[in-house]
Amino acid sequence: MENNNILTMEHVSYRYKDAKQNEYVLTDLNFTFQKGLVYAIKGKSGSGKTTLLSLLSGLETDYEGNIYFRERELRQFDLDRYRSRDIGIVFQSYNLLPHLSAAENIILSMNVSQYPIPDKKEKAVELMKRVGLSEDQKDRRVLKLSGGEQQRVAIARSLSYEPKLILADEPTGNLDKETEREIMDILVDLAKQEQKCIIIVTHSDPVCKRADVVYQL
Amino acid sequence: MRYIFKNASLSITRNKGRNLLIGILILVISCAVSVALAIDHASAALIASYEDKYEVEATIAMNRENMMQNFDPENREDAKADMNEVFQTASSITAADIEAYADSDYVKSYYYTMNTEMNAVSLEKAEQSMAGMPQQKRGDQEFEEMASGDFTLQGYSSLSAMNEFIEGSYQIVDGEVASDFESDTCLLNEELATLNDIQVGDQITLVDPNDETITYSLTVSGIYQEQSERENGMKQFANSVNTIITNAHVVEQISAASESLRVSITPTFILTDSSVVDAFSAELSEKGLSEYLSVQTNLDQVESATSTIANVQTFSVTFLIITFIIGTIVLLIVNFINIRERKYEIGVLRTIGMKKSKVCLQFISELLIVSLLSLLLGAGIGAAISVPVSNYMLENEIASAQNEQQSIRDHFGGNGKEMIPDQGEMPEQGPDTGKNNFQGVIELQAFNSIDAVVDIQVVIQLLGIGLALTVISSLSAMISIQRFSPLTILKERT
Repeated sequence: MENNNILTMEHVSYRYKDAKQNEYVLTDLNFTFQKGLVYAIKGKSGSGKTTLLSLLSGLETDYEGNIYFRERELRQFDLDRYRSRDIGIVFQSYNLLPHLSAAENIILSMNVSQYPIPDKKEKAVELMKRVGLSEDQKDRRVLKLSGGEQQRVAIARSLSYEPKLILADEPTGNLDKETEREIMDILVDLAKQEQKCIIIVTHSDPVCKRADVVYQL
Repeated sequence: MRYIFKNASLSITRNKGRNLLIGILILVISCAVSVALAIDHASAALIASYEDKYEVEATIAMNRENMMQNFDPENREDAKADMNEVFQTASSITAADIEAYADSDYVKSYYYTMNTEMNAVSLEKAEQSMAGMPQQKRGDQEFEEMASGDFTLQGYSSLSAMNEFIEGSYQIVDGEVASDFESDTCLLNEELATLNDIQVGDQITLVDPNDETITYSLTVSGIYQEQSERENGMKQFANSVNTIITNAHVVEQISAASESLRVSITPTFILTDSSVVDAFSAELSEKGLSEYLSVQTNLDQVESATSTIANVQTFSVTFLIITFIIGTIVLLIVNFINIRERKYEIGVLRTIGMKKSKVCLQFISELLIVSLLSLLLGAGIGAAISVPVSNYMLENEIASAQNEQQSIRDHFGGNGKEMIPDQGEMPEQGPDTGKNNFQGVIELQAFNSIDAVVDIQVVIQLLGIGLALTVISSLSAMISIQRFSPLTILKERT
């Protein structure tokens, strides 16, 4: 039987380096994430949502327990390469480079990943269209785009090297209801049509409702 | 890898304000550095050229320090006898000794002058034309106990030895200098020749002042004039009026015939360079040079003449070091502030998986591109301003030296012109005459302009310094990139 698990957390606990002995932010988490599904990790402010995302994205490795990406422990990975090739990350504040245009932000990510793409410009435009942006927005500086448009660019960027896992940290946190719905449509669509695993860290109930699985922190 | 440089250039062009500030800073630093380097190079070249032009000359002279150590003031008679012995030793140097001393790896060439005192048959000694002025005595005459002659017989070993003729203080007005340096010929001072009605081709007979039976005949091959006329047209007493000039071979012959005749010999060795002086001195000691004699050089004179330029050079090097230190500190601070402002960018790049080393490379590349453009522009501007700046600096040096000259004149009373004439009026002196006591001031006129040029060597050095500056000032960026946690940065922004 085909193993659909992309990411598995086994007894994962985490406390900050300067925290006291038993002051854990995350305690004994056992989550499994499969391709083709949208996961919502729900929690209040300070519950460790962003910390969990930093563990899953390999930005923090000082955890207890194990995190497996395709059955291989995350600590064994070149984590820069893991972030640039295996996963895509979408942030609440988009985290695009303001001095670059929409297309340039996407192409930069392609370059960093060193993923073989014959025509990067064409691919960038294709991705922009895929997330609902028009071609004439490709040369526009990202600061001249609306919040929703910037988040679409961020999603397009995370898809640029075709990762199987997308991590999203409050991706609709700065957006209005209508745009939130549109962004969620894109993410759900990516899971259903392209068999990607979407993990969304959120405190939003509408987002949780669109998820296939909800984990509570 | 190419995308890193592309990204760096995009970052430069899209963040003009920030890069313009860094560029202007580096431009100012590079202008200052290129001016300092150009001045340093031009000064070094001038000093080298001067040292090449004025070769390192070594002579053998009395070592007064050693002599005075043996002088016992309690027992003056013995001391006088000792001193006499010293002079005997000094005088005992022969042409053969000189030849042996010159047989050295440190010596390029050599020449010497021999002096003795002679009388002459039917030749009237010229009297001093300026009353009350004692005739100059030769250094070792003070201890002379034998009869001294009326005339000084001066024998040169070669044309190179004839400094007075080379420098123009003596000039042939009739006949010529016999260039074989072996024939029994001589040159007479014009005044002496006129007084005795002697023409070129006439013969004179020299007589040993201690033994009138010893004579030596010389044919007059030329008449010379001493160039000692002043601006006011008054003819000064010529030191050389009773000097009969011949070649060293003749003096050697006369000296060989007469044991009682005191002959002094002044050798000049042209050394390969200034660094061999000590080694040459040690070699002469090994070859038997008396402890009362020592090697003396014209290095002080050369150094004195180049001291103005050396001062400018020292200043330029100091300026260079200070500029480098201040430039590094300023750039470090600017880069530190710059990096703090770009924390977010670092966070984004790290989050999308760019390695720390590549982020560093991009940031350093940006600084390098800006630095390189500013450095080249700075070199150009530096080239344009280095010439007037260096000449201005030299102008000040010359002015201060002229003030010093005036001050020395004041010390001697009157207008002091007899001792320190105006620049341009000073008859040039040979390096070994010992008359020119104010070389530093007088020679200053030799350097009234520096051709400070920003040549390829300066540009290479400037680039080297610029790159070092860039790398050092990039340290803040590199350390920050290593320390920043991307998620913390991005969370702070959120």
